[in-house]
Amino acid sequence: MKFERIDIFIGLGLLFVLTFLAWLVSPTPVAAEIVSGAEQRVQLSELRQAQLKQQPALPDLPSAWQQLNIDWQHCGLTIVNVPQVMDSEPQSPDEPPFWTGEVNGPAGVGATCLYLAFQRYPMRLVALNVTDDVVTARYRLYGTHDPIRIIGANTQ
Amino acid sequence: MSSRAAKGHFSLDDVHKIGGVGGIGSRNVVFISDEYAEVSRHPDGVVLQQKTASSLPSWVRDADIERARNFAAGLTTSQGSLAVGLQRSATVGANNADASEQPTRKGIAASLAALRQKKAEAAPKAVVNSGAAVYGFWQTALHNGVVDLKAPLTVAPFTDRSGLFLLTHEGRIVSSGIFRAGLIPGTEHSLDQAVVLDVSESTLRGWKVPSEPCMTSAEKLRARQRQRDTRAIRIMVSAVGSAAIALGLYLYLSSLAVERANALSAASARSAEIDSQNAEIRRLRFTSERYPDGESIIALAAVQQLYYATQSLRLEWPNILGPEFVAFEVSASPPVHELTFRHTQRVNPDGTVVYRWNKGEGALGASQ
Repeated sequence: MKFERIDIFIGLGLLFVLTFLAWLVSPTPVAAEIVSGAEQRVQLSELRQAQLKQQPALPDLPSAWQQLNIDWQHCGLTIVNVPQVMDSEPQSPDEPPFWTGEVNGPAGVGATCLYLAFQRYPMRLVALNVTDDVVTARYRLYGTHDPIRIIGANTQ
Repeated sequence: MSSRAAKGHFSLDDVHKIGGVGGIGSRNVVFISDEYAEVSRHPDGVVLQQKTASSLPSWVRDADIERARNFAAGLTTSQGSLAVGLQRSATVGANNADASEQPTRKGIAASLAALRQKKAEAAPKAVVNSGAAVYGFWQTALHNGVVDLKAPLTVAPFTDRSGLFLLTHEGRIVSSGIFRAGLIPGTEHSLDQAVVLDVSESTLRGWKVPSEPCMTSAEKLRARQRQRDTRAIRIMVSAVGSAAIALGLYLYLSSLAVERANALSAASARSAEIDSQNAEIRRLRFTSERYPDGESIIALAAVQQLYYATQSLRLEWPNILGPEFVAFEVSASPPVHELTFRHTQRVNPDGTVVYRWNKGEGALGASQ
């Protein structure tokens, strides 16, 4: 079979036109770089998760609460019985569970003791009053807990 | 290759076994007379070769082609055989009838009888030769480069007085045909001046056949039709092949798009899932970025310093959580020594000092 030049041109022309049309109507794939970038983000997130898992976990709330109260007593601070309500649940999605406590005592020793306790425990200051050399501090102690054990467990 | 002295004779009757196309193998060939002229003298002339710079177009006759094939198949006598036979009988007739130039009726009958006898003898061979191809003699000779186009007259002899002739003028082929009785039509050149090709069987066996054998006009028509059909099929195959390739490309691009979209979707979902897990893990971990709580530490460290550096420290922060509480403010006496945290002081008319510092600023720093 002898091929003529025009046959070759027709064949190539058809091939070009049809492949061009196929390319034109086919869905455009997402750029490989975008997919690669997303996969890199996954890897970074996994790395971050591994780092986070190496951090110490928050303490168990009842245990930490008990230990903190012992520390307050050692400092000479008085533990005020704070009525625990359901607002001890986290108020924002990234806030861990907490119990609210309040202590008062001599301002100088109390401030120092509070300062040291805040360095040791996962706590946050809610309110602070200093009047007549007496400091009163309200705080949140963060930790993990079983919701069922909240009621009554922190009312000492 | 050629000389003025004959190096053998050949006959258009013969079936020659000569080299195949491209020198591969060999094939049985029957030569016919091909005629170089502007227009064929015969109504059944078929162009064998188009006009070129060095030659007029060459023609062959449908009748010659078919007769040559039939001859090879043992069905009839070739034109050349007939011509030679007639020539021979003419010579015999001339000898027998007072040197007359024309063969007698008796001579012709005798020669035809001789030819029939020859044909009958050749019949068994014809079966073997039935697949023989037909080529123009000059077509083949020129293809093999044995013709000197500078020579005005070249002949391929059947006998000493007959054969095929080729006339050239200034290197261009102008005429060809069969000559008989030593007379070459259309030229003043005589046979003595002709270059005589070596047409011995051994020489012819060394030739190679051209790529295209002679075809009758009907065959050419069929070939053209076949070519048209072939072309249509070829275009159809091209279209189908191109469509298949295009479809393949479309499917490939589509699958690639789907694959990448799935990969991106999976990666995004996985990323979101891990980020969510990380947020939960971060929430329940004692991480350095959250604990100790910076604001609380700043407040307590500042209060501690102020308590020991001043007298009658008073402060009331009922709720220091939330973004609206941006600065701490306390009231006390002037400091007895320099405070190390960054703050501002405002002295009240009663002599007390209001200390103010921002919630997020470090407890260490120069006082302002």
